[in-house]
Amino acid sequence: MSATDSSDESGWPLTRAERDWNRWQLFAVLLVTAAATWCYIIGEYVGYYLNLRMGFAAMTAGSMIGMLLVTLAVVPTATRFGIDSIASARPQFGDRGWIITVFLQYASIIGWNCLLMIFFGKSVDQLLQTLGVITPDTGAWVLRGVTILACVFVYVVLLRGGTGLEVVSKVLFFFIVGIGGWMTWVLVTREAGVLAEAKPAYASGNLRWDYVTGVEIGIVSLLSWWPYIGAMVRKAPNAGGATLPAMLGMGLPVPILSVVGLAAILALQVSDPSAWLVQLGGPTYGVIALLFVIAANFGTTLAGVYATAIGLRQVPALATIHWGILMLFALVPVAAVSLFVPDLFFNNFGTFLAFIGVFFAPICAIQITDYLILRRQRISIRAVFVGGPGTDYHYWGGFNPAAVLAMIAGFFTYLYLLNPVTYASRAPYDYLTASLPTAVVAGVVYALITVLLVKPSGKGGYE
Amino acid sequence: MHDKLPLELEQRIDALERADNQGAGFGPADWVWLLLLGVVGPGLLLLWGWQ
Repeated sequence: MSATDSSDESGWPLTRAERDWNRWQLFAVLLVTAAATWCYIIGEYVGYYLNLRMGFAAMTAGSMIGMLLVTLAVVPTATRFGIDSIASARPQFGDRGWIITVFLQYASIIGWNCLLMIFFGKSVDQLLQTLGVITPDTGAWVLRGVTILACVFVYVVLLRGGTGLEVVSKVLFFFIVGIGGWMTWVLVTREAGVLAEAKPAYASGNLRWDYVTGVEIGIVSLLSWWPYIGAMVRKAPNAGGATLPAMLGMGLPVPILSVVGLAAILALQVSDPSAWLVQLGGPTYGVIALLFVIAANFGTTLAGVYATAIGLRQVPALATIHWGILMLFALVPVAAVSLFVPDLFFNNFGTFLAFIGVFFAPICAIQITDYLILRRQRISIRAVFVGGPGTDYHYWGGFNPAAVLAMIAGFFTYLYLLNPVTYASRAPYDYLTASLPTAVVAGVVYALITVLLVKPSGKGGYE
Repeated sequence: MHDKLPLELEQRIDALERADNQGAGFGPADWVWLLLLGVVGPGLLLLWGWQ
């Protein structure tokens, strides 16, 4: 770490004095992180299967269940020691096994950031075409150019580390809440009749399956907060200061904003507000929608790049690299995908969502089982940062077999219940979702192996 | 993993090993909120949506 880097640019634990965000500060940052245009795509997916009332209920219930899992998994450890999601998982995965979580965090956040950047580029393209500024044949280049500009802007702001994130979030918070509320009002009041009669386009014919799929989409969408949340709640002084901000600031905005996408796809067959607001109110409304897309996606991308950079700090080769260079590891892949394969990535969002459920449901279950039940909320902060043979979290060769086998068991459970590519399912998916049984199986496997093998071997620092 | 810890990290760990420098875990009120917002609320919403 260079002398000019501050504590919030390191992956090191924060001291009590540095964990100084109050509930409102944390609430604003988490809300700005959560409120992005992925909500419209999530709402669009739910709207394929359910009407407005059922879609709202299923999506909101699923989101809050997913947020509960993430909160229980990360918040207690992150706020106790001021560490991020990756460091909080070391006691479970081992002093080498944590690389699994680094990879998943990296892949997940890069994926979400690609989606946001491409959505942003598409919205600019859409609006400029509507206004007659560009022609359709130049749209692809506008998308790419805008995306690169946005990446550069994110880079410049985050040169200030977490401080830059918090300052920008204060401004974006009111903008996102205000325009988000207005858009919902415009859509619901002007299209109330159409919404009441609207039928989902891809309903399966089995209402229970459709309903459970709405819940599943909500759960997996919020499980994707696992990589993000630690980097921000670690600034809270204790778990109590992060509980409501996490559940209400990070959990609730997603289904509330997703209702806009759900209602838009049902009533107008398009979820991008910069497209449907032009239909409803002309170019002025389109400009307002675009401003919203910019504000919402910008805040979330900032948080994502910041969380990725903090997570990458745990990689020994990157532990001392300059902050500005570290951020390039998080931004360059986003820029590359947005430049070369934007449509391929954008059109496979459903598969990406399922990938999140496959991996993050087991991770959450493993952490909850280990920290809250098996360890009774006691870990060694020294062993989190000091590894090697003979240390508490070295296990066997740096890997904890309980965590690895629990991940594998969870992976196959999810695949058995729901095919992430085709969405073909097996019982009891249509009663229980895929993520919840996956979490239960992973948690049980972890507990059994820990009790039968790890603890008797004197590994893991269990008391 | 760090074979030899940087001095600042060592100081941070030393400080955080003392319980009074650690953040407290979930209190009773937090558990009630988690139960309401993550279990009871979603259950009621699902019943409402299914009607």
